Formats: sequence, C-alpha cells, structure tokens
Amino acid sequence: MIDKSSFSVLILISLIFLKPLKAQEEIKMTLPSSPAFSILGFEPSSVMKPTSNKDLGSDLLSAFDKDGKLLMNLGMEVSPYWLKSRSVLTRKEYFDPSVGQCFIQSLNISSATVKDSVKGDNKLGAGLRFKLINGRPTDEYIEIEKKLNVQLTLSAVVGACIANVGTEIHSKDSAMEILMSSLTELGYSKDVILLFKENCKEILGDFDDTNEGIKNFLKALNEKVIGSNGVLIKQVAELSKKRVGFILEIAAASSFITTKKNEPIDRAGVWVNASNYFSPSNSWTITGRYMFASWDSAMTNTDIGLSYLKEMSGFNISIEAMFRWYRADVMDININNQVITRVEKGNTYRISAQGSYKLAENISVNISLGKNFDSPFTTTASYFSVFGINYSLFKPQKVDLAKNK
Amino acid sequence: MATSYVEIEDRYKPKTPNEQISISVEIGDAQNGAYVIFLGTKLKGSNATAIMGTQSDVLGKNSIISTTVVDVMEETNWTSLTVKIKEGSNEQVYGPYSKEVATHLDTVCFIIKILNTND
Repeated sequence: MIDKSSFSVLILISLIFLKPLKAQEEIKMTLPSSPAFSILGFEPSSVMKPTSNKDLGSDLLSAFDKDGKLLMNLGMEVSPYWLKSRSVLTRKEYFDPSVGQCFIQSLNISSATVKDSVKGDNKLGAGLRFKLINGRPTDEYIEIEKKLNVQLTLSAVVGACIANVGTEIHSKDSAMEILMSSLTELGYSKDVILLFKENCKEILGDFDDTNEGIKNFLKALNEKVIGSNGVLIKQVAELSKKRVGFILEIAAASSFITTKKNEPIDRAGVWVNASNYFSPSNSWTITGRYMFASWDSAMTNTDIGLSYLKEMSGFNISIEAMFRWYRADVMDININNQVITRVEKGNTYRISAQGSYKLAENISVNISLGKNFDSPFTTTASYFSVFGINYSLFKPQKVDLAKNK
Repeated sequence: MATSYVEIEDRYKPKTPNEQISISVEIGDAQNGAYVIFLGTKLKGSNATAIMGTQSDVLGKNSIISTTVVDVMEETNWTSLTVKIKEGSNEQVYGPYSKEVATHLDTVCFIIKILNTND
C-alpha cells in the first residue's frame, strides 16, 4: 500500500525522469462547450448570451461598428429553441424527449471573432453543438424534486387563500383556519402543520384585518415558505443537469480568415461523443473526432478514443486511450530545387491517466501522466507528466454591448 | 430568489346540467411547480386533474387554480401555465399565461380565479 510520503516521492520521480512536453497539447475527451471558441483556440473577453429574440437582434446589431465591420474579440452563444416561451413543454416531456425534440432543445450555436496578433488576420469562428439522446434524470433528482413539490404545494395553498380574500375570507383567523384544514386534507403531518402555524403566528401581528392586510399577511407567509426552501430549489436546479444512461452528443465548428479571399478556411472540426453513465459518478465515453487545419502545412487528424471517468466527492480520476490517423501536406523542395508537396501520414496513439483533487471551490490540484500523440514533424519521445494547480480567477461575463454604446 | 404574482380573473359558463366538470393544469417551459384547485374555500385536488362537480355544484362559485412555479431551468427565464376545463366532450382552454422572471431560481405564483356563471 502506498503511503503519503511514498506517493509524494513517486510524483517527484515522475516529474524528474519522465520527459515533459514543452507544451502539452490539450486533448479532452469531452465536447467543447463552445465549439466556435474552441476552434479559434480563444476565449473571448465579452460573450453575448441572448435569451429572447429581441436580445438576439440587439446583440447582432451591436457586433458591428458604425462602418458595418465585425468587432473583434467578441463571442456569442445562443440556444434558438429557448429564445421564446415554450408553454406546451412540460417537465416530463423535457426529461423524456424524442430524438428530434432532444436535438432542438439542446441545439446551441456559438460564434466568435478574434484578431491574430502575430499575422494580423481577422478570424471568425462558427460552431454548433447538440444532443440526440440525453439519458434520464438521476434517482437523487427524483427524490429531491418530490420533496420540493411538497413544499411548493404548501405555497400554492397560500395562493388559493389569497384568491379568496374579500369573498370567502374576511380575517386573518379565517385564512389560517382554511390553510390548516386544507393542509390536513392534503395529508401533511402534524409536525409540518404545527411548524406552519408557528410561522403564521410569527408574522400575524404585523398585519391588520383589512383585505389589503390579509393579502399582505398571506404573501409574507408565502415568502417564508419559499425562502425556507432555497437549498432544495438550488439542488433541483443543479441535479436536473445531471443525467445517467446513454448520452449522444455532436459538435462541429469552423474558423475562417475574413481578411483572406482565397482559401479562407483556417480550421474545421467535427466531434462525436457517446457516453454511458452507469451512475452519476461512473461513466465511459467513446469519442470520435475529425480536425482539419490549413496553416503553412495542411493537417488532418482523425481520432477515436475511449475513456473511463470516476467522480468521487472532491476527487476525480480518469484513464483514456486514443488512436489517431494523421496526414500532413507540407510544402518542401526536392533534390532538383523544385517545390513539391510532401505527404506525411501515419498513425499514433495517446494514453493517459489523470487525477484531480478539489481543495476549495475555485482551486484544484491536477496530475496527468502518459504518452501523447507522436507528431509527424518531430522524433522526440512524447511522454508527459504534468502536475498543476488550477485556480479560477475570472469567468467571461454576459455583456450587453447596446448598453455600452 | 424573488417571488412575483400573476393574478387572473375569468369566467366559465357550464354547458350541460349533468356532466362532471373537471379542471387540469399544465406547467410549461419545462419548469418545476405544484398546484392546488379549490372550489371557493373547498379543496378539490392537488397536482392532478380535479373533479369539480356538475353545473349545480359549481354555479355562482369561483374555481381557483393556484400554482407556484420555480424557474429551475438555466436555458430560460420563462414560466407559463395553461388551464383546461373539461365538461363531457367540451373543453375550454385558459392561457397560456406566461411570465418571464428576472433571475434564475425566482418564483412565480399564478392565481387563476374563474367564476362559474351562466351570465
């Protein structure tokens, strides 16, 4: 069994004797959350996230200067389906959609602009991401939602009493009587009813017996009920994003050099992820990826990989293996001093083990060990070991450019 | 986490003397919520279709549908509600009533009061 001191030594040894890459290529088995930002290799300082058609129109107009040119270092993410109210979409249908419904509900379109400070090119990235299958909610979510709905039903009873003020209810006492009898009829336990009665008595004296006073009393009571369930509400909101079962998601993106008329495509990529979450903390993922880059050499990579992730409280470990077919078309000069295109193609692989330990909300310690892909251009060994600390200082904030003008 | 109220008053004219009148509620925008249905001050049901009675049971009284909806969806700040009153083969739809909340995790209380009247 490895104790703490041996483990620390092991890490030091791995750092000293395994050759680190000068710059480890960041290879993730997950889809990029914003494909347009990922294809540009750039996170914009301003990210617009319109939530209505009106906001979308306003944000699009704000992305151009007075001469009609695209502003640089901007990003936008929009989910078209959610730009307006979906009154026919129930929570049940949201969690159990058809393939088509899953596609339109999850479709996210991203775009970004950046100025290449080295070459002076203006670049535009555009991408999309969607799911075709999205698993199912966890058992923990179902339990927490039930608990919350019990509390929300209590709030709804208070709301019904508000509706009766002035017609059937003419005093705070009669409001309380109807509340207590309704809660008993709904099957709430004596403890819950007693606690509710205590909450009522706490604020009873703050209001008079006019219609206005009774309504304000009931609204204050309602605020207490909802306020006391803040933790439950947050848990439901967080857990509704966690799914188990099979998830299939696809992303694609391309970047263009807008200052170049011939061959403006700079990079393009397609990602496909199929994951199976056995439980909220155990999953395997198969990743397929195709990337094309048109730089001084044209590079095409096709990757396929498999990974396993285990999440524990504050600590994650994952192991992954990926196989790559690559092709590089390189401009070269032959023995007769003629310009030729040299083709380097082959296959390579990557294996790695990664661990992450959360020290605090924004700080985590990470370690990665393994072998990275071989490059068609170098012959050095590609083993790596990385030990690092992640600290989140800032995150891009939603910006309303229209307000800033 | 702010709470806001949407209070609506409307009318329903019963169509038949003997058919049971039922009320059902749909909470939209994939939001989480709970509701109760009263006839005046009498509880008729919660979180399921409620049978209100026949024309003679409901006439002159208010059907009250009180729904508390929480914005738990990160994708949208919209909350909405649709009420359906069914009497035999007749169905009357009220809404959808929609409200966009200011902040994620805010709550909306929809209070719909429908007077059952022959006027």
